[in-house]
Amino acid sequence: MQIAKVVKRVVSTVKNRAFDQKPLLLVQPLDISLQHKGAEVLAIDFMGVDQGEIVLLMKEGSSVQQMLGNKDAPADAAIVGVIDTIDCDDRTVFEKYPSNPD
Amino acid sequence: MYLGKVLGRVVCTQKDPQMQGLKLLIVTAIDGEGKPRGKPFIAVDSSGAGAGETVFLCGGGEAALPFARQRPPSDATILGIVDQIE
Repeated sequence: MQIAKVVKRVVSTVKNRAFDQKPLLLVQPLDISLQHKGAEVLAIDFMGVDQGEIVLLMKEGSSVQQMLGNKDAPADAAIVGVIDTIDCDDRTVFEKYPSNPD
Repeated sequence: MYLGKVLGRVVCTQKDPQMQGLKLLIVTAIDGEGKPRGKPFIAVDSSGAGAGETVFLCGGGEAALPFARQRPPSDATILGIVDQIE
């Protein structure tokens, strides 16, 4: 899975039935220093996230199909979590709710 | 399956219900000499691994299978902690 930032909401009315009721988001994958990494990805949102949030991006078709409850769903990327903190190399890289605001 | 090294950890309160109670770790894939291969990513832990440990992982659809009662949406899961590479 990858860290990603929500860039845009994508609204589509005419779409594959497997995507009914599920919002689509354009997300930018990030590396662990939160720098942009690679191209933007279109993913199904299972969490109800907002623009600008740091999320967990999962890119594996059969897991998305399982979450949608549809083995034939033509999907390969989903938002599966909202990230609170990232700790790497004994350092806190990201905190959604900083414990010490200054 | 492939080798990796744990660099850190990610915490999500709001996540898919099938992921409740599972630990999310930042991992970089390594070669047999321990050199990093590619960029770090997030993996679900099934073995109680921690930062600095060498582990092995599986990817793809099988990454959801190692858990007894859960089927987390995962594209990389830590299957074991490596003691040594000979």
